[in-house]
Amino acid sequence: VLARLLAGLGMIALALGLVLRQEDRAQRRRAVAVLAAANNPWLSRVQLSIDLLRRTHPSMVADTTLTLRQTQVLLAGLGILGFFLALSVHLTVMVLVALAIALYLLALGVRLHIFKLGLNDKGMIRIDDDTARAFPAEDLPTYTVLVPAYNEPQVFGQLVENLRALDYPRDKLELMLLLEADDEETIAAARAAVGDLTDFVIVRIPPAEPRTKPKALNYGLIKARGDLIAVYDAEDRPDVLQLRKAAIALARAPEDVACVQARLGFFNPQQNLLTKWFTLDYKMWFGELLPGLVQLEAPIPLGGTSNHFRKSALFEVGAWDAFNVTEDADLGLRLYRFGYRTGVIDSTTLEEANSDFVNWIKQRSRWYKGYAQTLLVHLRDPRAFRRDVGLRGMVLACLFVGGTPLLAVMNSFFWTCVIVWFIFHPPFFLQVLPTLTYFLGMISWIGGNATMLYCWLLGARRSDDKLILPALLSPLYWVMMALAATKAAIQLITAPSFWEKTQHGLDMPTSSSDAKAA
Amino acid sequence: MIVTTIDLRPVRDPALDLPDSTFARRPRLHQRIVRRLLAIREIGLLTIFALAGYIATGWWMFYVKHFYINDELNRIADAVYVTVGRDPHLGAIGFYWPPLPQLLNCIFVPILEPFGQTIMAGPVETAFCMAGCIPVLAKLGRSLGVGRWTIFAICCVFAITPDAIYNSTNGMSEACFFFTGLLTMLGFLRYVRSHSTADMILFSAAMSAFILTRLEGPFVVVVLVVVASFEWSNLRSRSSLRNSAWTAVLLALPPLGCFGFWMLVQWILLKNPLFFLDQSGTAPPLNASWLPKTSSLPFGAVPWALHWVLVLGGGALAIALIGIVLRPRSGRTRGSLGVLGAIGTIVAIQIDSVGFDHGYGDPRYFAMAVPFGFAAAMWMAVRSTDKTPRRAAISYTGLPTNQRRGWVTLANVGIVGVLVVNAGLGSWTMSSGPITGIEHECTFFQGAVGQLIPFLGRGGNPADKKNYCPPFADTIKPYMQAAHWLDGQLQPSNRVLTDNSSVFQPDLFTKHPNQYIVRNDRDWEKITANPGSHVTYIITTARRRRGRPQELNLSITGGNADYGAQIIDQRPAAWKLVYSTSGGLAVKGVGNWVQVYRATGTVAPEGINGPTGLGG
Repeated sequence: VLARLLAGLGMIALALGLVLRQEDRAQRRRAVAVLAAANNPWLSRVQLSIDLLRRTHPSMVADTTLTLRQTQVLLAGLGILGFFLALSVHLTVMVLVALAIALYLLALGVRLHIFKLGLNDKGMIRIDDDTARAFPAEDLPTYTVLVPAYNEPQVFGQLVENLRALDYPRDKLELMLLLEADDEETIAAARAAVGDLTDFVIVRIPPAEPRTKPKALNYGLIKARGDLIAVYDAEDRPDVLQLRKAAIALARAPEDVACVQARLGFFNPQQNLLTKWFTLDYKMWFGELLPGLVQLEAPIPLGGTSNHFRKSALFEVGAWDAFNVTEDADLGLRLYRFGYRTGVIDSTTLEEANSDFVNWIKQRSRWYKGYAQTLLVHLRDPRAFRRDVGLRGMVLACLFVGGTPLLAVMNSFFWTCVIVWFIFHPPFFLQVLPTLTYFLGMISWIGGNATMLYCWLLGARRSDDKLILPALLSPLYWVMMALAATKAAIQLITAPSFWEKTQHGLDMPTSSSDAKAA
Repeated sequence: MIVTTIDLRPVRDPALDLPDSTFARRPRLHQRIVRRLLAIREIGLLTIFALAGYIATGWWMFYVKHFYINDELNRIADAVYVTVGRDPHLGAIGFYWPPLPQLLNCIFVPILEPFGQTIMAGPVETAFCMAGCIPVLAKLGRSLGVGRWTIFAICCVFAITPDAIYNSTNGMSEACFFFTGLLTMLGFLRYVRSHSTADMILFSAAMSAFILTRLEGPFVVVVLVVVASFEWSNLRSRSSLRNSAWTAVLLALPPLGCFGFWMLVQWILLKNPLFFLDQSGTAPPLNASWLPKTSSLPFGAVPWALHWVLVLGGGALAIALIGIVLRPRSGRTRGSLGVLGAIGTIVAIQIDSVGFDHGYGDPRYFAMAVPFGFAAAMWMAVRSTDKTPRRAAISYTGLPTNQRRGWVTLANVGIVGVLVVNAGLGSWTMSSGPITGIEHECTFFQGAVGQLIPFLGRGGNPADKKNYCPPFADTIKPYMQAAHWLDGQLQPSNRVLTDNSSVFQPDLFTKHPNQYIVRNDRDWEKITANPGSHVTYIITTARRRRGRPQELNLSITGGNADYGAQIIDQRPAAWKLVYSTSGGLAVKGVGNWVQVYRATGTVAPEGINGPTGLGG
C-alpha cells in the first residue's frame, strides 16, 4: 500500500513539475515576443499580427498549453487516479481499460457514420467549370491570396506559374507572397520569379517571435484588400477555377458560411508507398470525412491550405492564432464556436505528398500536437465551449480534434499490450478484462480494424484503383500514425509551440539535396 | 482594435441565393425522433404487431405447448456460458455451427437473465429477426419503386406465412438466415442498379452476416457476387476484367473475411478449420458416403468442394452462360439474374440433400427459399411497371408491361395471390401426417397452430408424443433436476465441469452458472488432472463410445459427448457417482442419462471470484 501511495504521489509531483515547466516556458516566450516587438520599427503591424487573437479573444490564444485552472483539474485528476491506484491497481486499471474501449467504440461508430454520410456526396459543393467560367466578372468580389513561405527558394518558379494560371479578374485579385524579412535567399528567389509582374505583392514580415505561418498570415490579412481571403502553401497547384468556384459558393451560401475548404490532393502519389498511403489518407479525409462532417454540422478542422474565407468573419473570430501549430484546425473550431459554418468545395489543389518517413513523422506529429493543443485551448472554459457549440458539437470536437491524436497514442499502447499478451500471457491482463469489457474490446479490435481497413479499400476504389494494394497495407501506415502520435504526446509536454517545418521539394530528385539543405 | 469594427461583408445579390441542400440545416435530435415516430405508418405498425405476435407465440409454444428443439436449447446454453458462465470465452459457443445466431443470443441472454427468462432468449432472438424482415422487405420494395399498398400486402403475407411464424418461434438459425438473406437481396438489388459505394457497403456487410447464419449462405453469396461484379458486356477488355475483379474482391472480402475468421476459430478450438464440413458427432455427415471425412485427409475439403461443384456447378454455369449470352448491361437484367440465381441455389442444394442424401435431408429446409421468394415478388411487382420490356431478356416476366393502372393493379394482386397460395400450400404440405416422421418439429408446430386455425394441422396431432417433438418436461426434466440438486450441493469454491454438446441444459436452470466450466480446447484430461482448476463435479451423460478422450477428439468431432464418462472410466477411484437420473429421454436406449460425479480427492481451495486461469 505504501508503495502504491508513493507511486500516486510521484505521479502528482511529476505532473506538477511538468505544468510548472510549461508555465515557465510560456512566460519566457511572452517576454521574448514583447522584447522583439519593442526593438522593432514595424512594431504596430507585426505586434498586431502576433496579438490579433489576443486582442479580440485572449482566452483562446495557445501561448500556454495548460491554464492554471486546467492544471488544477489535471492535478486533481491525477490525485484521484493515484488514490484509486493506491486502493486497488487491479480495479482502477479495469475501469481505465473499459473507458478506453468505450472511447474506441464511440469513435469508431461516429467515424463510420460520418464516412457513410460522406458517401452520399451531399456535403460537397459542386460547381461545374462552365458555370464558374460563365459567372460575370463584375459580380465577383475582390480576392486576396495569401502564400506564406519560409526557407523555400526552390519552389517559386513553379509557384508564380501556378498562381498566374488562376482564372480570376486581375483587377480584383491580389496575390500576396508573405516572406520573412531576414530570409534573404527566399526573397531573392521570389523577386527573380515575380520579375515585373504587377499582380504580385511581396510582403516582408519583420523578424519577430514566434516565426510561425499563422503570424505571417495575420500580417498579410491586415494588409489585404480583398473581400475574400484564400490561403495557399508555396508548393500548391490549385485548380485554375478554384477562386471563381469558391467565390460563387460563398455568394450562394447563407451568410453564416464563413469559409469553404477545397479538396487537397497530391501531384506525386505514385512516388513511393508512403505517398500512396498519404494520398489515400487525404482522399478519405477530403472526399468522405469532411463532407460527412459538413452534413453532421460538426466543427471542421480546416486543412492548412486552400481555405477561402470571408474577411469580415476572419476578423470577427480573431483570425489565426500565431501560437498554435495547427492554426488551421483551431480556426475551423473557432469559426464553429462563433456560429459560422464551413463548406467543402469540389475543386482540388495539388500539393506535394510527403515522401520521406522522417519528414512525414515530423509533419504528422506537429498536426497531432496541434490538435491536442487546440482542444486544450477550447476546453479552457468547458461551459463556454458547450454553450457555444452545444453538447453534440462538443463531443464531436473532442472526438475529432482531440480524439484523433489520443486514439493514435492509445493504439500504440494497446497494440503493445496485444503483443505482450500473445508472447507472455500475463495473468494480470485476464484480471482487468471482465466479460463485457473483454467482448467489447474484441469487437473493437477485430471489427474496428477490419472495418477501417475496408473503408480504406472503398476510399481507394472511389479514387484510384492503383491505390487498392496500398490500402490493403494501410495497417502499417496506422503504425506510423501511432509513432507520430507518441512523438507528439512527448512534444506537447517538452516543446508545445515548437514548429517542425515540413520540407518540400522532395518529389524532385534534382532539388532534393537543396531542399534538405534548406 | 480597429480591425474588429471594419465591415467588409460583400454586398449580396439575392438572385444568387440559390437553394442548396448542402447548407440545409440539420434537424435537431428530438425533432428527428419525433419525425421518425410520426413517419411510422403501416409497415412500422405491422412490424410492431408481428414482433409482439411472434414473441407471444414463442412463449405460448414453449410454456403452454412445451415445444422446443434441442439445438435451440444448445444455442441458448452456449450464449449463457459466454455471457454469464465461468471464465467466459467465446469458445463456449463451439463454433461448429455458423455462429451468428448464437452471437445474437449473447445479446438477449443478459437482458432476459434478470427476469429468469434466459431460456426465452432463442425465441425472442428469432422473433426479432423475423419481425426485422418486414421493414427490410418494405425497404426493398420502396427502393425498387413498388407501390405502397403492394408493399404492404406483400409484407402482410410474409408476416403471416406459417414458415415465417414457425421459424420466428423456434430459436434456430432460420430466422437469422431470413433476415440477413433479405438484407443481402436489398444490398444486391440496390448495388446492381446504382453501383454506388454506399450500396456496396450495405451489400457486402449483409453478405458478411448472411454467410455466418447457415451453410447455404456461402453458395448464395458466390452467385450474387459473380452476378454483381462482372461487366458481362465487356469481358474481352482487359481493363474491364480488372475492374470486375477488383469489384468482386471488394464485395467478397468482408464475407470471406468473416468466413475465414470462423474457420480460424474452428482451427484453434476444434483442431480442424474445415470442421463445419464434417459434423459427424452432432448430425448426419454432409459428405456423401463415398467421400472420406475431412478430418482424415490433409486436404479433406477437396472432395467436398468437388462434390458441390458438381451439384451446383451446373447451376452456376447456367447463370454464367445466361450472363454471357444476355450481356446484362442494366441493373434490371442483373437483378433478375441474381434473384433467379439465389432461389436456384437454394433449390439445388435442397434437391441434392433430399434427393441424393448428401446432407440434412429435411424437406423443411426448402423454407430457406422463402426470403428470396418474397424478394422476387417485389422484383416482379416492379417489373410489371416496365415500359420497355425486352422479351429476350431474363427480366421478362410476361406480366402486363404498360403502366396503365388497372394492369399494374391486376399484376400486383396476382403476385400477392401467388404468395398466399404458396404459403398455404407449404403449410398444408408440412402439416401432413406422412411427413411427420422426419419433420416432427415443424409438424408439431403446424399441428399445434392447427388447433387454432383449422386449415392447418392436417393430419398432425400434437398429442401424439411419439411422433412429435418430445414434450418439454420429459426431456428437460432430468437436466433440470440435476441442476437443482447441484445447486443445493455447490460450495462457492466448487466448479462443475460440463460440455457444450450433450449436457448443456443444466446451465439453463442452475442458480450458479458462474460455477460451471466449459472448456474450449475439449481437453478434459488436462483440466481434471489439475487440482488448481477446482473441478469438484462432473456432470455428464451415459457413455456411448469407447476410446481415450483425446482419441474422441478425432473420432467424435461433433463436441464433447462422452468425455465425462471417459474421464470417469480412466480413474474410477477419483470420482464417485453422487446423482443420476433414470427415465427421461431414452436417447439411443441408454438409461440413467444424466449423471453427476464428485471428486473424491482434495480440491484446492479458492474464492469464488478468483480466476481458474483456464479460460479463454
